Amino acid sequence: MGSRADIDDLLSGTFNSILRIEERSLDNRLTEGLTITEVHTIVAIGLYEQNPMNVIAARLCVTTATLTTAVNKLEKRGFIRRERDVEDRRKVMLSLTKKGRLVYRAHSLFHKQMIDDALSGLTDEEERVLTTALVKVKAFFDERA
Amino acid sequence: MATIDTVKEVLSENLDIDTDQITEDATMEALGIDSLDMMELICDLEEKCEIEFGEPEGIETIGQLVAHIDSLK
Repeated sequence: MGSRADIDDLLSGTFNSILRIEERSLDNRLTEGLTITEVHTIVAIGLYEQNPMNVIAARLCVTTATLTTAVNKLEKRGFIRRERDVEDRRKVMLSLTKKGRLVYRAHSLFHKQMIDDALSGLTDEEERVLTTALVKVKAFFDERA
Repeated sequence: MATIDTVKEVLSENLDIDTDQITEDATMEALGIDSLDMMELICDLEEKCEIEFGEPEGIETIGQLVAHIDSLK
Protein backbone atom coordinates (compact mmCIF):
# COMPACT_ATOMS: atom_id res chain seq x y z
CA MET A 1 0.00 0.00 0.00
CA GLY A 2 1.46 3.37 -1.01
CA SER A 3 1.75 6.32 1.32
CA ARG A 4 -0.69 9.24 1.26
CA ALA A 5 2.07 11.42 -0.26
CA ASP A 6 2.31 8.92 -3.13
CA ILE A 7 -1.43 9.19 -3.71
CA ASP A 8 -1.18 12.97 -3.80
CA ASP A 9 1.56 12.71 -6.45
CA LEU A 10 -0.46 10.12 -8.38
CA LEU A 11 -3.60 12.26 -8.51
CA SER A 12 -1.94 15.53 -9.50
CA GLY A 13 0.50 13.76 -11.84
CA THR A 14 -2.34 11.96 -13.62
CA PHE A 15 -4.34 15.20 -13.88
CA ASN A 16 -1.38 17.08 -15.42
CA SER A 17 -0.58 14.26 -17.85
CA ILE A 18 -4.17 14.10 -19.07
CA LEU A 19 -4.14 17.85 -19.72
CA ARG A 20 -0.89 17.57 -21.69
CA ILE A 21 -2.15 14.60 -23.72
CA GLU A 22 -5.42 16.42 -24.43
CA GLU A 23 -3.51 19.49 -25.60
CA ARG A 24 -1.45 17.36 -27.99
CA SER A 25 -4.56 15.55 -29.27
CA LEU A 26 -5.74 18.80 -30.90
CA ASP A 27 -3.08 18.38 -33.53
CA ASN A 28 -5.35 16.74 -36.11
CA ARG A 29 -7.18 18.06 -39.15
CA LEU A 30 -10.54 18.40 -37.35
CA THR A 31 -9.42 20.41 -34.32
CA GLU A 32 -6.27 22.11 -35.63
CA GLY A 33 -5.99 25.77 -34.62
CA LEU A 34 -8.38 25.46 -31.66
CA THR A 35 -7.40 25.76 -28.01
CA ILE A 36 -8.53 23.26 -25.37
CA THR A 37 -10.82 25.95 -23.92
CA GLU A 38 -12.46 26.47 -27.31
CA VAL A 39 -12.97 22.71 -27.74
CA HIS A 40 -14.53 22.49 -24.27
CA THR A 41 -16.84 25.42 -25.15
CA ILE A 42 -18.00 23.50 -28.23
CA VAL A 43 -18.52 20.34 -26.14
CA ALA A 44 -20.51 22.28 -23.51
CA ILE A 45 -23.00 23.41 -26.17
CA GLY A 46 -23.89 19.78 -26.84
CA LEU A 47 -23.99 17.66 -29.99
CA TYR A 48 -27.63 18.32 -30.91
CA GLU A 49 -28.72 20.72 -28.18
CA GLN A 50 -29.87 24.32 -28.40
CA ASN A 51 -29.01 26.16 -25.23
CA PRO A 52 -29.03 29.74 -23.96
CA MET A 53 -25.77 31.45 -23.02
CA ASN A 54 -26.34 31.21 -19.26
CA VAL A 55 -26.72 27.40 -19.39
CA ILE A 56 -23.47 26.97 -21.32
CA ALA A 57 -21.69 29.46 -19.02
CA ALA A 58 -22.84 27.46 -15.97
CA ARG A 59 -21.63 24.20 -17.53
CA LEU A 60 -18.19 25.74 -18.08
CA CYS A 61 -18.14 27.58 -14.73
CA VAL A 62 -17.44 30.92 -16.45
CA THR A 63 -19.31 34.23 -16.59
CA THR A 64 -21.55 34.99 -19.59
CA ALA A 65 -19.18 37.89 -20.44
CA THR A 66 -16.26 35.45 -20.75
CA LEU A 67 -18.40 33.06 -22.76
CA THR A 68 -19.54 35.82 -25.14
CA THR A 69 -15.94 36.54 -26.16
CA ALA A 70 -15.30 32.85 -26.88
CA VAL A 71 -18.62 32.45 -28.71
CA ASN A 72 -17.99 35.48 -30.94
CA LYS A 73 -14.73 33.94 -32.11
CA LEU A 74 -16.16 30.45 -32.63
CA GLU A 75 -19.18 31.80 -34.49
CA LYS A 76 -16.96 33.81 -36.83
CA ARG A 77 -14.96 30.67 -37.57
CA GLY A 78 -18.09 28.67 -38.34
CA PHE A 79 -18.22 26.25 -35.37
CA ILE A 80 -21.25 27.73 -33.60
CA ARG A 81 -24.66 29.01 -34.69
CA ARG A 82 -26.34 31.80 -32.73
CA GLU A 83 -30.11 32.19 -33.14
CA ARG A 84 -32.95 34.02 -31.42
CA ASP A 85 -35.26 31.78 -29.40
CA VAL A 86 -38.56 31.42 -31.28
CA GLU A 87 -40.58 31.64 -28.06
CA ASP A 88 -38.62 34.44 -26.39
CA ARG A 89 -36.94 36.74 -28.92
CA ARG A 90 -34.75 38.31 -26.20
CA LYS A 91 -33.01 35.01 -25.63
CA VAL A 92 -30.03 33.93 -27.77
CA MET A 93 -29.68 30.20 -28.33
CA LEU A 94 -26.43 28.47 -29.24
CA SER A 95 -26.02 25.28 -31.24
CA LEU A 96 -23.28 23.56 -33.21
CA THR A 97 -22.82 23.75 -36.96
CA LYS A 98 -21.64 20.68 -38.88
CA LYS A 99 -18.06 21.93 -38.40
CA GLY A 100 -18.69 22.24 -34.65
CA ARG A 101 -20.19 18.75 -34.48
CA LEU A 102 -17.02 17.40 -36.11
CA VAL A 103 -14.95 18.94 -33.32
CA TYR A 104 -17.35 17.52 -30.70
CA ARG A 105 -17.00 14.04 -32.20
CA ALA A 106 -13.20 14.26 -32.54
CA HIS A 107 -13.00 15.23 -28.86
CA SER A 108 -15.26 12.31 -27.78
CA LEU A 109 -13.14 9.96 -29.85
CA PHE A 110 -9.97 11.21 -28.18
CA HIS A 111 -11.41 10.60 -24.70
CA LYS A 112 -12.69 7.15 -25.59
CA GLN A 113 -9.35 6.08 -27.07
CA MET A 114 -7.41 7.54 -24.15
CA ILE A 115 -9.47 5.65 -21.57
CA ASP A 116 -9.42 2.42 -23.60
CA ASP A 117 -5.63 2.62 -23.89
CA ALA A 118 -5.04 3.70 -20.30
CA LEU A 119 -7.12 0.86 -18.86
CA SER A 120 -5.96 -1.83 -21.27
CA GLY A 121 -3.35 -3.07 -18.77
CA LEU A 122 -5.88 -3.59 -15.96
CA THR A 123 -7.76 -6.79 -15.17
CA ASP A 124 -11.58 -6.59 -14.93
CA GLU A 125 -11.27 -6.72 -11.15
CA GLU A 126 -8.69 -3.92 -11.04
CA GLU A 127 -10.91 -1.77 -13.26
CA ARG A 128 -13.90 -2.42 -10.99
CA VAL A 129 -11.95 -1.49 -7.85
CA LEU A 130 -10.50 1.61 -9.51
CA THR A 131 -13.98 2.76 -10.58
CA THR A 132 -15.44 2.28 -7.08
CA ALA A 133 -12.56 4.16 -5.46
CA LEU A 134 -12.60 6.99 -8.01
CA VAL A 135 -16.36 7.51 -7.61
CA LYS A 136 -15.81 8.09 -3.87
CA VAL A 137 -12.76 10.34 -4.32
CA LYS A 138 -14.46 12.37 -7.10
CA ALA A 139 -17.54 12.92 -4.92
CA PHE A 140 -15.27 14.54 -2.31
CA PHE A 141 -13.66 16.88 -4.84
CA ASP A 142 -16.96 17.74 -6.57
CA GLU A 143 -18.46 18.81 -3.29
CA ARG A 144 -15.63 21.28 -2.69
CA ALA A 145 -15.18 22.48 -6.28
CA MET B 1 -31.86 7.26 -52.81
CA ALA B 2 -31.07 4.03 -50.92
CA THR B 3 -28.85 4.58 -47.86
CA ILE B 4 -26.05 2.41 -49.25
CA ASP B 5 -25.94 4.62 -52.36
CA THR B 6 -25.67 7.77 -50.23
CA VAL B 7 -22.82 6.14 -48.28
CA LYS B 8 -21.10 5.23 -51.56
CA GLU B 9 -21.53 8.78 -52.86
CA VAL B 10 -20.02 10.38 -49.74
CA LEU B 11 -17.14 7.91 -49.53
CA SER B 12 -16.18 8.28 -53.17
CA GLU B 13 -16.39 12.09 -52.94
CA ASN B 14 -14.50 12.43 -49.63
CA LEU B 15 -11.97 9.64 -49.76
CA ASP B 16 -11.90 8.67 -53.41
CA ILE B 17 -12.88 5.08 -52.58
CA ASP B 18 -13.94 2.94 -55.55
CA THR B 19 -17.71 2.37 -55.19
CA ASP B 20 -17.34 -1.30 -56.27
CA GLN B 21 -15.41 -1.91 -53.05
CA ILE B 22 -18.20 -0.46 -50.88
CA THR B 23 -20.34 -3.50 -50.10
CA GLU B 24 -22.40 -4.32 -46.99
CA ASP B 25 -19.71 -6.77 -45.81
CA ALA B 26 -16.77 -4.41 -46.29
CA THR B 27 -15.15 -3.29 -43.04
CA MET B 28 -14.12 0.33 -42.47
CA GLU B 29 -10.61 -0.93 -41.84
CA ALA B 30 -10.43 -2.78 -45.19
CA LEU B 31 -11.62 0.39 -46.96
CA GLY B 32 -8.91 2.43 -45.24
CA ILE B 33 -11.42 4.56 -43.29
CA ASP B 34 -9.74 5.71 -40.07
CA SER B 35 -11.51 7.03 -36.98
CA LEU B 36 -11.32 10.70 -38.06
CA ASP B 37 -12.58 9.82 -41.56
CA MET B 38 -15.45 8.07 -39.80
CA MET B 39 -16.33 11.27 -37.88
CA GLU B 40 -16.44 13.22 -41.15
CA LEU B 41 -18.49 10.51 -42.81
CA ILE B 42 -21.04 10.59 -39.95
CA CYS B 43 -21.41 14.39 -40.12
CA ASP B 44 -21.87 14.29 -43.91
CA LEU B 45 -24.43 11.48 -43.63
CA GLU B 46 -26.34 13.39 -40.92
CA GLU B 47 -26.70 16.27 -43.35
CA LYS B 48 -27.59 14.20 -46.43
CA CYS B 49 -29.97 11.77 -44.68
CA GLU B 50 -31.40 14.40 -42.26
CA ILE B 51 -30.81 12.24 -39.20
CA GLU B 52 -29.20 12.60 -35.78
CA PHE B 53 -26.65 9.80 -35.83
CA GLY B 54 -25.89 9.87 -32.10
CA GLU B 55 -22.73 8.26 -30.76
CA PRO B 56 -23.18 4.52 -31.28
CA GLU B 57 -20.27 2.15 -30.67
CA GLY B 58 -19.20 -0.95 -32.55
CA ILE B 59 -19.97 0.04 -36.14
CA GLU B 60 -17.33 -1.87 -38.09
CA THR B 61 -18.90 -2.62 -41.47
CA ILE B 62 -20.76 -0.65 -44.14
CA GLY B 63 -23.79 -2.91 -43.52
CA GLN B 64 -23.88 -1.97 -39.82
CA LEU B 65 -23.59 1.72 -40.73
CA VAL B 66 -26.45 1.48 -43.23
CA ALA B 67 -28.63 -0.46 -40.74
CA HIS B 68 -28.04 2.18 -38.05
CA ILE B 69 -28.99 5.04 -40.40
CA ASP B 70 -32.10 3.19 -41.60
CA SER B 71 -33.17 2.61 -37.99
CA LEU B 72 -33.19 6.40 -37.50
CA LYS B 73 -35.34 7.24 -40.52
